[in-house]
Amino acid sequence: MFLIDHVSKAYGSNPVLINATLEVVEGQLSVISGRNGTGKTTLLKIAATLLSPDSGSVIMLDQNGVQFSDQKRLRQRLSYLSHSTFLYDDLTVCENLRLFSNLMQIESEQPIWINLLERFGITNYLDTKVKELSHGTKKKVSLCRNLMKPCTIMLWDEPDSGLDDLSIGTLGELAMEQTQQGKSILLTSHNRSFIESIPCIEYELLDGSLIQKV
Amino acid sequence: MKIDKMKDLANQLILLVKKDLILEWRTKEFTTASLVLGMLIVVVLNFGIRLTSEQWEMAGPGVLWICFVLSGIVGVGRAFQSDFDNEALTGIDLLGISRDILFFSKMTTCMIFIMMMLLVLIVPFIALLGFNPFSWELLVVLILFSLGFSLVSTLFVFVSNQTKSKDVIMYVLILPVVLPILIASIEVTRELVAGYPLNVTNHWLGILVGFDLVYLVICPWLFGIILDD
Repeated sequence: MFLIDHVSKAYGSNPVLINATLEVVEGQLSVISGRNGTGKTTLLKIAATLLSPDSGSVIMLDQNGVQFSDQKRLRQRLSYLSHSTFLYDDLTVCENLRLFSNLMQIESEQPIWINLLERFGITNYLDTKVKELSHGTKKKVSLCRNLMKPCTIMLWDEPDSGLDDLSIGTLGELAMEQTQQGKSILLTSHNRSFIESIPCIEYELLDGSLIQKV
Repeated sequence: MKIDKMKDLANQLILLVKKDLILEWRTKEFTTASLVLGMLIVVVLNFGIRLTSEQWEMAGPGVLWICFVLSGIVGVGRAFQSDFDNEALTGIDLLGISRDILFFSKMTTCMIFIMMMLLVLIVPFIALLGFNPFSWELLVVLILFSLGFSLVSTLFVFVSNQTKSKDVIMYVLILPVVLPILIASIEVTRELVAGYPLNVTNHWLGILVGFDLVYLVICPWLFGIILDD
């Protein structure tokens, strides 16, 4: 279980989040929608431990019911997809994914990312430097990197932005596969057709608070 | 269990250093910035200062180390750029890897680059200025200086990157902090050039080692705090 507990955040005198609370249970896909500037990215950054809230906390409960909220343990159990790709421009797609795979000590006969790249139809870019890729392809590589990480919750900030319709379909399929494996997903999106294409619980971020949509 | 953990950490460190070396090989960010500036300083000195070989014995060590420090700061600032582009280092930090491993991988890379730069820049000093400070004992000073300089600059490159005028801030932060090891290196080099042997009781050498140890404790600790912010 992943809990964003009464989180508040202000930039200067401008409050962005006011007592935002959200619980994501195992295998659940939750979507946060809302207009630009309502604080969706801020909320996800706080959830990913990249930003400290002014008040409130991010809590995770492990399988034994032990509760923790320290940065290191949270980071080991979450996977965060940001607007930045987190990729090295001068390394190839293969080198980037192999680096992260080796750092995470993922051991498998066939590299896990090969299958993911195949799903997005970008295996032909394996030996291409990231800086030579289009925005959409970089996003797909970044998604593959994110999906590789063993975790319990995936935090995706607008994962569909910059993707074509076919890739958005693949993204939806992958998201559902992840939840079937017991992982939880919390994502933000503006794309109504994408949100409606996946079984999820939708929240709207309005005036700093999260409201569950029926 | 502990040995396995140590092996994992060493593996992560090697992976990160290897990644940095590949990136430098491809981008030449550090090499270009530091060596070009270093060479330019030597060429300008060649035309700007006309000293006899006796006068070089006095002024040479200072000129040499100031040239090293300025070139080093410029180079280090460029060498970490690929970590800041696309927030790549944040991506690695989010994997939950030990902050000490992150710091020491960057520091190791930095030290390799600095050592290479120092050894290369000595050549134009000998060729253009006729000032030859090289000796095996100087190599010890170069290693000790590189260690201290790498520790401090690794830390402050990350601090300055969070400010708007990062290039200026880097000089303002790094120079005063490396001043003790810079002065000590100059003094030890001056003694070596004058023909005195390097002695473990040399107090300048003691200062160099002492400050390296202080940096070794403080810099990784502060690095963790900075990444948290």
